[in-house]
Amino acid sequence: MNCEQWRNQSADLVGDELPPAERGELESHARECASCGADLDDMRRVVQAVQALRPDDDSVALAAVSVPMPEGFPRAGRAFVAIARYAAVIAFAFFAGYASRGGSQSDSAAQLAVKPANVNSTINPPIHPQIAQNYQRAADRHPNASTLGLSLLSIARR
Amino acid sequence: MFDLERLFRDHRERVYRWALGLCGRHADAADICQEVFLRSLLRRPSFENESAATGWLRRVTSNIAIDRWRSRRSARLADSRREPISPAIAPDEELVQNEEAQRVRGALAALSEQQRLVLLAKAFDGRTFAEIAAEMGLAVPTVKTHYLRALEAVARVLSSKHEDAGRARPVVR
Repeated sequence: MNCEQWRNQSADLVGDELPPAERGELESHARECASCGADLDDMRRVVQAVQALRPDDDSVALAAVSVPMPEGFPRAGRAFVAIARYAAVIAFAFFAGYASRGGSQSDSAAQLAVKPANVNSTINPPIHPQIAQNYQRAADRHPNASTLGLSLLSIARR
Repeated sequence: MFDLERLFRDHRERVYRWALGLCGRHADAADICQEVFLRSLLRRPSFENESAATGWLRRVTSNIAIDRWRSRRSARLADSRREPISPAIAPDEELVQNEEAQRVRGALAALSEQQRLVLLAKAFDGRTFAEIAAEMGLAVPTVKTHYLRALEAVARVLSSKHEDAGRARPVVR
């Protein structure tokens, strides 16, 4: 066996995938050839060093039990986020509608159609300027619409 | 059909072992394990067979562990540049770990992904070259080449340590 043949089979030797006869032949060459022998020592040292990183099975079996399974939150999470979003829009619509009516049920929508600057100055926290602007437009177009309806329209168009 | 519970039940221990080997700490290994299965939950990969699942999980585990190792090393380097190490500070768990293990982890992080995966599959899991080739969708001779390149690269890192140790060290007063 020459060095090139040895190198071609060195992966199988170090990887422990050779039948005993071939293995013996390669190891015999490594003993006679200083260069191939040094390479074999280096490679085996690496394999041992990497294997030394591997934890033993008993400690793994015990420790791995403490790892909880991830919950299926992406599906549930998406549904939750969607529901929360709708709930927030409706709550905001109620709040905006109530605040812009000033608590009175008798005012007409036309009377409530205040300018955006006025809307923001009377409501705390202030309504988003674009929503206030939409409310103004919606009120102009639908003078008989309810406050809640106008609020929903103005948020939906945002 | 994707079944997270089954995937988790069948591979949790294996994933944890890879993670612990690559990072060396239980807390990190548990985090990595969680992240691996979280990714599988989000991506919902379909596996033709068991070895494809093992190969995919090994790759994801290795990538997450190596990314963590790199970011932790960067943070450590940045810290050490900012302030000198005080002997009064209690040594970190990682600092007292085997120096060679840290060097090996560093050398593994420097390998190409394929070299690292072949080496881990062989050394950690005792897979044959044919099994690794099937898992990774590569030819057997290619797997053997990656294996030899990986061994050579890690050997260079380990032998450079021995050369460093042989040199005279400056005396620190």
